Amino acid sequence: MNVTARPRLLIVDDEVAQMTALCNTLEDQGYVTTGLTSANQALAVLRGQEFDLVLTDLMMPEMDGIALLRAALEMDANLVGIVMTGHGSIDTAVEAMQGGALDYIQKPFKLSVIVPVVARALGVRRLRIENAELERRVREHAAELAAANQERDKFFDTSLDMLCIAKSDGYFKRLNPSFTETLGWSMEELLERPFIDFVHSDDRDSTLREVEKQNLGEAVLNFENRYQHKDGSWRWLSWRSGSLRDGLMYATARDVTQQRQTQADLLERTSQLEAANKELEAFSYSVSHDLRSPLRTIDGFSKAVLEDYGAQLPPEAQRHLQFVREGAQQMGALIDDLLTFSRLSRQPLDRRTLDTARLVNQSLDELRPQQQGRQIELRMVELPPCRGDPSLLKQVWINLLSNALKYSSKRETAIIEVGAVPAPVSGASVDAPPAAGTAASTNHEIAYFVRDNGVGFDMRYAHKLFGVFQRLHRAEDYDGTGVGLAIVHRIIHRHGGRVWAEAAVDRGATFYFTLEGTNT
Amino acid sequence: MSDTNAVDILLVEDNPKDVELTLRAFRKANLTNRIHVARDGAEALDFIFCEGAHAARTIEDGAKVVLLDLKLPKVDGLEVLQRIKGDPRTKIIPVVVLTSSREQCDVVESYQLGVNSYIVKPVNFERFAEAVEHLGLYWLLMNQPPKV
Repeated sequence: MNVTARPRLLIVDDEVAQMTALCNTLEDQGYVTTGLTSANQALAVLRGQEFDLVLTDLMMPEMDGIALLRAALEMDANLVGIVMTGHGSIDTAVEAMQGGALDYIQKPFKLSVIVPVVARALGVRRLRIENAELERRVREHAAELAAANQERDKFFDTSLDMLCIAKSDGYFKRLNPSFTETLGWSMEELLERPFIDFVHSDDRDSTLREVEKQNLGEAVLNFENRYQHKDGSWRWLSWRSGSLRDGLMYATARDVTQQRQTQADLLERTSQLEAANKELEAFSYSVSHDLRSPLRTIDGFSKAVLEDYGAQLPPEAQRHLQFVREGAQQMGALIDDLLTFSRLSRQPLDRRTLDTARLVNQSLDELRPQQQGRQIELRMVELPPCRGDPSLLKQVWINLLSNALKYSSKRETAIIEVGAVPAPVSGASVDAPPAAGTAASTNHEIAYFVRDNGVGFDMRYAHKLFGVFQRLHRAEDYDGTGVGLAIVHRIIHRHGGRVWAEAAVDRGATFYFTLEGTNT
Repeated sequence: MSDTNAVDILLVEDNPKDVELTLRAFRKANLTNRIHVARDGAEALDFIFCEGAHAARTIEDGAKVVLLDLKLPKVDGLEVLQRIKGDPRTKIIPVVVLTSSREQCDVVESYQLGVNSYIVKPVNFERFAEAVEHLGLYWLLMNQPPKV
């Protein structure tokens, strides 16, 4: 009922004059009235329209007022009905009230009686409607609450984490199914024993301490203990728990048995690796010493033969003995290089800020013998400082400069340039040389380079440059073990940098490298 | 104190080929000094401390320089070095480690024990001979040994 709208009254009396008089009277009071003379008509109208109040005569042919009200109330239980009785029978009026009528009026009616009765009845009607509305809201609320509870319960029940509430008496109050899945016990079995029963005896003291912490208001984070699975095995659980000072603990747990196992495996694997590394160290040490000794014998005594009996040997024999010596010396160099190469991956990186120019000059000093008696033009521009391991980076410079000197040895004047250029970050590497016309990216890093005007190489074989024992030139043209660039590659990689080369046959070569963290 | 017993160089080396090459190098460098060869660490110590088979010797007639390899049977080179440098009677004797090992741990350990010089034997014979020659020239001719 719209409180501001005018109440709608249905007035039923088989005496037309009475009915009309009533209608008019009540319309004057501000009500909207519909007057009918038969109960059947009234029912028909009630089916199609909503009314607030039915005012009906009791005695009517066809159907009496009581039957009408009953039927009307069935259609709308909040309807209010008032019966009119002209024959003064209180019994019938009472019967009518028992049938659902709210009140009765005696005919002939007086205005001073009807109006308040109708008003009162409409008041009840309003209350009934409000009541119905309240009840509807309560139902709605209850439904929402039920839905929220259901959602929470679903969450609680389907959570893969173990969720629980525990009481101060040491028993679980509530558990989610994850407990059963993880520990094998049924919900009943978990609820019927104190939770400490399931805990490993070695972990009981620490568990009880954690319970105490919560009683003092501290939260428990990442506490681990062992719970026994129904099959007898132990599962490591990691707990987070807190108390709301209501005597209950609210906790979540995760099965970390696998993680702990993995960690233990990892530790063992690491110590195995460390042991293997130590063995490798010892092995290398032994190898280097024991392999060099026979080589010295081969070289030394071949030389002895040449010195003592050379004159008696035909030139071919002398040549062959010389080969024997060269073979031994080559092998010595190889052993040295291989040892360096293998040590590089094991040696810890001592990263410091270095004066690059000084490093380059130190390297050049060590290569003085290679520079003896040659025309060498060295061009070095300002080199920005770099961050890296000094001894390892010196090795890089020595190897690159030594190569530059070696492969330009056939030029009258060897021109060697050392410098630094900006290089795009996601740029070239030995595995992906720079694409022609690469767009300049916003991020640049410094690439140091060594350029020579030597014999160069065919870029088609560039991908083989940094492989161990890979050579792009004949041994008789340029000697070497083929490990030098592999060493450079290994060192630069350990620094997190990239190394690559550009060259053309007979037009020299440029080797570039970057180090991690050298941003312009 | 017979002159004929005096020795200039004690060469401690177990590899017979290396012994021969070293002696050859000394000959070529005209360092025809008196050389005694010990084939293992125990023999070296007996010689230096005048014990065992060398009980008849005196420390004063001892070598002016010891060329010591590190990898030796019986008593290891570093232990020989330690014994020589640890004894007040012998610690003034110059010891030159002449070895195949370039391992830093050996170099550091040797210097910590008081070695006078550490040389790595090159594979190349000429360089080896050169090294030996320089050694000889330096320790026997140039270097001023203390008068015992």
